[in-house]
Amino acid sequence: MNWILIFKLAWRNLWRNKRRTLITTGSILFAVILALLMDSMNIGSHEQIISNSLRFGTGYLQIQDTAYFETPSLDFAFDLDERQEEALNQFLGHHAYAVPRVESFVLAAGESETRGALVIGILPELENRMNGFQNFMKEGEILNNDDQMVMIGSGLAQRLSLSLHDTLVVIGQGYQGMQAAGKYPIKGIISHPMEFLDNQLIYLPFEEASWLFVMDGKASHWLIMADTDKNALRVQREIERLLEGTELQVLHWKDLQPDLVKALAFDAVSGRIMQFILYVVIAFGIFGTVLTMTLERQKEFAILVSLGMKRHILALQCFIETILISILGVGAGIMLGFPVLFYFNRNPIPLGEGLSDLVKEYGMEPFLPFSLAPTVFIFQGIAMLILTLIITTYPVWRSLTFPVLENLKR
Amino acid sequence: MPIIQTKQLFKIYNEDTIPVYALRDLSLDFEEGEFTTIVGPSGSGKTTLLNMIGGLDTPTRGEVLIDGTNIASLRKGDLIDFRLRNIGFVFQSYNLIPVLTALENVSLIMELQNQDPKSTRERALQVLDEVGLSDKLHSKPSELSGGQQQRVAVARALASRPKFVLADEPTANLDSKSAMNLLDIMAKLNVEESMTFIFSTHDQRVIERARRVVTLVDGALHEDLVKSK
Ligand SMILES: Nc1ncnc2c1ncn2[C@@H]1O[C@H](COP(=O)(O)OP(=O)(O)O)[C@@H](O)[C@H]1O
Ligand SMILES: [Mg+2]
Repeated sequence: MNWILIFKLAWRNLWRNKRRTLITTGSILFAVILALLMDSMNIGSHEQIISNSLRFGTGYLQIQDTAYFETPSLDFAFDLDERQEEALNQFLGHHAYAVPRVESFVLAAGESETRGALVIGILPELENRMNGFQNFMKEGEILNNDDQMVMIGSGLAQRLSLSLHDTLVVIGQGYQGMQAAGKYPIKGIISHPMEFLDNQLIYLPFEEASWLFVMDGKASHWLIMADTDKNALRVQREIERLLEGTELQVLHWKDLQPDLVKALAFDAVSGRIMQFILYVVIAFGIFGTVLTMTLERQKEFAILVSLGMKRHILALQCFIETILISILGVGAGIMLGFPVLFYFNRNPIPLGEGLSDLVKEYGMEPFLPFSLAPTVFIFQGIAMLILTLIITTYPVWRSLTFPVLENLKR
Repeated sequence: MPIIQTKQLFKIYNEDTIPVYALRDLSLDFEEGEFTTIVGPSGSGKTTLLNMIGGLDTPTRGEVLIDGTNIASLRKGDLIDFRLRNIGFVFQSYNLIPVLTALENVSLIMELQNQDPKSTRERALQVLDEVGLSDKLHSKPSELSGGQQQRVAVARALASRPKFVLADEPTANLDSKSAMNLLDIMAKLNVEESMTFIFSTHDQRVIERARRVVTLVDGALHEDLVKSK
């Protein structure tokens, strides 16, 4: 087979009608850029939502009592024994770390108002490493390990009409039904990026929380943070082995937040549907060009076959023509799209009014994040490839079956 | 042995309703090196006969033997290959590939045959020189006159040294000067390359040049005249 000849013919045929080819590749180009933007925005906001919900919420993994997920009660608090803690630290290595938490719902009161609130016992240094929460301080100072003070969300402060240095009263239930009550001056007020947490959040130092809830150093659960999802999964497998046969289990964030996973999946599907519509439109554009390119050359096809070009070689030539059109369009689209995405990745678009509930609930920065993840580009490439393969079946089928004699007489 | 034989060749259209006999019991032999014209009025079956010999059309009855091979016995893909290796075509309306230059058009068959690029180029240059187009090597068909295009087509047909060249009314679209020029070239190549030519025409001037004149009427053989040299 003479590849040079086939490519030469395909390439020249492409430029036979320069304007038509340019319009077709141009429309692919714009569609690819549009699809890239859509995808990048979608994935970008998902990345942000996930990252926020991991850092401010669940962590990558959680070690819990097997009953805790169903019934998040302090009664299922636990200690890791020495052997377990040692093994855990070994698994975590440099790519991950563990954060003990005490978490419980309480009644919080100011001078005149009372509200339900969530107490989170934290180790401030680890918390900062996890989510940089000190960047969200609105007023006052960050907690120290041995403080007997609280930091509260600005939403809660407003609801309870409390300001910095005022006193917050906390009443709840401790370990095994023991009374938990405390009075704490407010050391800091934080504008928590997650709205629903900002409205109910009380941070206590871990030790103080342990004392309040009579936990004796136990944690209600442990969070595991990792640098990548892959490392998190590796650590998860190792912890699973470690916890085998105990009352404890390790859960992935996807298990911990099934609603979020569902919401993201739904959002991803709606994004894909938009892209699909876009692709159908481009597909018809390409098909139109390919169709005319095929039909206007029936006589030429007939000549080639009568001269001795085998039909499958002709089909290959047509196939290459279609692929070339799509590669030109997609290639140019990605080449031009990348700097656009790169720009928006570095200079995110500020969000206006129309931001989605999903972002409001889980998100924080009022910017539209753009992802530069390779999947964004790979997906467009694969989608276009599949599209092209479908479209090219027509010229391929036509060149394999068209009647030579009739077309020769045209 | 004749290079081409047709045996009781019939081509009948609409056999079930009102039959049209495009070819009627045609048995002809063509020898290697012959320069033959098929003549006859329009609709007499010239194109049908050439298509039959070239393996582009299939007879209703009878057979076509080329070098003893019954081409009806070849599978479709093999038939295309058979054409590629054995038969040169010149069409009435030139039918060059518009995206290829004169040189590339002439090289096309040899490239499809996967011949060595260097000898392909040399041969293409040689044949283009023989048809007097050495100065138009890199012209696209659209930049050539009808006569020039048809000379490229002749060069393309015989560059790969096929067993014979079939030309269906090659001069029909040409003015008389170009037509005579093309005939001179074909006659010259017939001698110099000892190439077998079979071409159809109803042009009287062309008929005068041929050595053998096969006349068809209504698809049947009317006369088979071999002039003495
Ligand atoms: N596809 C076809 N269907 C029916 N009749 C046809 C078809 N092709 C050719 N014919 C008939 O066959 C006869 C011979 O045609 P053709 O070989 O083209 O003649 P020529 O080339 O000598 O002008 C004509 O009567 C023509 O009408
Ligand atoms: Mg004819």
